[in-house]
Amino acid sequence: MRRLLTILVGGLVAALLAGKAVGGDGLVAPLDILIAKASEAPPEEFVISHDGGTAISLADLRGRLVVLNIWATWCLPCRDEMPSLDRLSDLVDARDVAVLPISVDARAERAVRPFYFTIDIKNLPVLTASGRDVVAAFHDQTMPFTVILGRDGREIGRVRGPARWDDPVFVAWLEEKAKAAD
Amino acid sequence: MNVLRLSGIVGALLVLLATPLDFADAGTKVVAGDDTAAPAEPRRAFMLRDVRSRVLTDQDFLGSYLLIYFGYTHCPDVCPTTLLTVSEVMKGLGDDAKGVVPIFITVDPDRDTPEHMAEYVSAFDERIVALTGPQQFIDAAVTSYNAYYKKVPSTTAPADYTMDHTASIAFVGPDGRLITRFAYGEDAAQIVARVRETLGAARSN
Repeated sequence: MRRLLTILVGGLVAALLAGKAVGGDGLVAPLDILIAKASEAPPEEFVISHDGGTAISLADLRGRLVVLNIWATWCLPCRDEMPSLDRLSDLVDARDVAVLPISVDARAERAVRPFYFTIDIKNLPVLTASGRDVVAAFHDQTMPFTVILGRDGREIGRVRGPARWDDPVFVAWLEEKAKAAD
Repeated sequence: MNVLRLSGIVGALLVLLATPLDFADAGTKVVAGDDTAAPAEPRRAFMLRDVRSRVLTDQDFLGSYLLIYFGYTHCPDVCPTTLLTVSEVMKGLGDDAKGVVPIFITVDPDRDTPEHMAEYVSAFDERIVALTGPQQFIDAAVTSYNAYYKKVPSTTAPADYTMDHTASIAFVGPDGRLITRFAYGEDAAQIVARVRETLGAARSN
């Protein structure tokens, strides 16, 4: 707990020193804009399609911390933050933290793969879902938004708008959350 | 049909076709005329271009129900998901969607080139008609639907300006008159129900 506090306070001081902690890419650190949540129940289930084939559900992800990013190729701020999400995926231990971008593009498989290729995404899976399902599950009409789900599947935080996901303070926060006892 | 109005539109059309880069004077004529039958609810006129440079006016859509959304594609911070809602509505309507035309009108013609808009709307639904035009023509359409938009300059980078704009969807009848507006954030299922209700009422008349 003390370490977490140190990290958080450190992050806050760093943020204050740096103004709004805006990086060279114009993105802010996630913890600067994170809205902490303590949801009583996991979000409503919806079908997430993996690579245009296998369907996965949120329940399948229990036991790991989940960074669930809702995006679309038509959304410019979503595109901006995607490289940092890719780097985050490489930084965390996949057994503890799942970094999952879910595209709501109309013809998602055709849209996502070329986009990943263009910006050289290495670690992110191609995941798609219906925009209607996503809006219904999270009651959010903006894009991008990212929810952090705890190991029990309940939402612990949400970031609305783009962020620099490989921010070291955020990575430390994630690891802390992933290792903390329930 | 008002002859003056028709000649105004034809005149503007000729100007639009002849001098694609200079429309300043024709712009205001398009909205000058309105229906005398019901002055409180004038038919809402516009003249714009689709992504294949075809000139389309409100007259071309008479006979269809319209779902009109004003917006822009360069959302720098967060993107509104209204077009996502529109595409869900079209899906939800099934066969009833045949008589409904979704229209996206950009309020940012400088950055929303026809090519970019074509790519953008295809990410939602191929049926969405994307319209643009010279600023004056867009302004006329915006005024026509009592919509609103305003450029918000960026403090850091001039090219990164944002646009405040009306986020509701105008639901227009086959006679060109506004039936209602669906507020931003309204659920696609609710909109489908309301559109179906209107279509059903029209059929039973």
